[in-house]
Amino acid sequence: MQVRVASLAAALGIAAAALSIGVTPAAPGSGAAQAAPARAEVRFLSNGGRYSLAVSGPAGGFETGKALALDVRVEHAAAPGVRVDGIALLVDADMPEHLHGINRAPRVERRADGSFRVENLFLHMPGWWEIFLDVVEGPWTERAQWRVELD
Amino acid sequence: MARRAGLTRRGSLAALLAGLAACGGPARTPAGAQAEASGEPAPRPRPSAELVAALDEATIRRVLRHGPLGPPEPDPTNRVAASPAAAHLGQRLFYDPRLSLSGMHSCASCHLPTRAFADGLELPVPQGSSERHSPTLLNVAHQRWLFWDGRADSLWSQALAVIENPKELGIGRPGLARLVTRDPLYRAEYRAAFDAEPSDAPEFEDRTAVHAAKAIAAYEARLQSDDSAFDRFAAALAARDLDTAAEYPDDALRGLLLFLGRGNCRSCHVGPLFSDGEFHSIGMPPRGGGRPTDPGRLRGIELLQANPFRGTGPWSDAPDSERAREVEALVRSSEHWGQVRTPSLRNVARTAPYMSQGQKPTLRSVLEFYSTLEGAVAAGHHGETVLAPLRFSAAEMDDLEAFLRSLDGRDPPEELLWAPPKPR
Ligand code: HEC
Ligand code: HEC
Repeated sequence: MQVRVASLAAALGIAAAALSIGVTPAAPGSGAAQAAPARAEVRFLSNGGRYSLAVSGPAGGFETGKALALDVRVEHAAAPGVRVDGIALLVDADMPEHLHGINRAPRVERRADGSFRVENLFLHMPGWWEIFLDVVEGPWTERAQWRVELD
Repeated sequence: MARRAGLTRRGSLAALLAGLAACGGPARTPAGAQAEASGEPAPRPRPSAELVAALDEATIRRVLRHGPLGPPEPDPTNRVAASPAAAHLGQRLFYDPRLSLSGMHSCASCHLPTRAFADGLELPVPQGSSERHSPTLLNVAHQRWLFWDGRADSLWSQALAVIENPKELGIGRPGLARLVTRDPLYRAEYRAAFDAEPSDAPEFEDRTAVHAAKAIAAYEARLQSDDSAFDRFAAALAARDLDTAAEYPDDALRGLLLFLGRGNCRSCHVGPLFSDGEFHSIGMPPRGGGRPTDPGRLRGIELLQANPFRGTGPWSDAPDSERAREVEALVRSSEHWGQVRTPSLRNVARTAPYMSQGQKPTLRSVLEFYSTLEGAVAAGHHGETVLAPLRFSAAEMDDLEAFLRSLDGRDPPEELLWAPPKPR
């Protein structure tokens, strides 16, 4: 069920990505991380400060034009290490300098341990990408974003 | 930095070795051989030796993203993609005018082997057959999405589209099945390729036609054109053989560095084909002026996802493969309006005129466009803003042009350049 919600919403997420154009790109909570080393875990807060996200980037770092995978754990910012339950995760990405997003919808799957596996994240150009991880909890959606530079 | 120093040292070591080789060593360049014969001192460092020695690791890594060109990834949706027997049948079909309703045109009418498998025209003849320019088929098996708008996801479904289209070849699947079934030579070659009988009975004609299209795809997959001056440069760099790398002309190398650097061409023209395989708008003014009318990728995705001959469809040999399923993951968004696929730049010097409607007659005119963006039009409401006028100097344009010319590869083997002879 979660899976279906996630992928449906990922499809709808395009609109969200389009709207985000013009918004200050890298919010304070944004992971200032550059292209991550193999499986390095990066931690950052969602833009509203509600969630703490632990994200492991693709093994071997971010590569342009390859289907990439991420592992994402969402925890309460106020209670680090405590998993947030009953949420969905939407994933999208955008190139703020080029005013365009991704051409393929990532697949998001919720694992039994409550973490998320993101696959098919396909960043087709070198340059600055913002990866959007939207945490949907009931009627609230809070965005977390992560800046990566692809060569 | 340490790396760089190491490279430089190796560079001068290589130059030293080259000097030593002048005393009767193998692998002499003609220029060196001449110097030797006339008793002159060792040849001056080749023009790009200094530039090559100055390349840092990050730049080398960027260069190596584009070559040397390897073989294409096999298409799992086509079981016979690598079959020589299927390619043989496909080659015969490719050159056969009986594939057209008029009996006058074959695939080779618009994809001429003597013109790098393009036609040298702005728009193809017969007039009105397409609003778009005929692209080269050299290295086409490396393309993920076919056509300027990417509305086909495999070479075989692309071939079916042309055969189906009454403005192009138009004999349709029934016509193709009939040809392959009734001509004894085709029949024999079909049998050899598929270990099955062709049939034009209504319940089998689709299968026969799809097989024939997959055979054409197998032929196209052999139209590899590699070993360009750039590929030899990249191979030498990969082996850190700076002496051989320095044989790459200095103007081409300056052009390449501009392409990767200030020109930022690599933000779209990246990868082994110098194309990201994806879709962009560069604001190219349409033929005849006015606003752009070609919906490009927006319509391309719609057509692709509705095509029964797509990779996830019933005619595919691997509908569940990761590659096939990429079709279903494509995002439809209005930002795709007017976007066309980034063209490959391999063999680009041989495939004038340029752009999806043949608007630009020469490489120089393309570079002038990127330099000034004169006449540029916004494709849609989300026009990409990646492009700013690059204001190239004349010398920079010369260098870029020299670089683009260094992407000319060798032609596929001679025997692939016409219809196979008929057995007697
Ligand atoms: C009337 C001229 C004409 C004929 C005949 C023709 N083509 Fe083409 N071909 C074109 C044009 C024009 C395009 C680009 C059309 C577009 O993008 O909408 C094209 C595109 C292609 C592409 C896609 C290349 C790429 O880089 O995306 C392939 C492959 C191809 N043709 C193969 C064939 C084959 C195989 C046949 C015979 C079955 C054939 N063509 C017959 C004009 C022609
Ligand atoms: C934003 C992506 C993008 C960038 C950046 C870009 N190009 Fe292109 N290029 C394209 C697209 C898309 C086309 C086809 C446009 C059309 O047909 O309307 C194209 C067409 C071309 C062509 C014509 C090829 C043919 O066969 O028709 C050449 C040559 C070329 N570009 C060279 C360059 C150079 C040199 C640079 C850097 C100065 C560059 N491009 C920067 C996307 C890009």
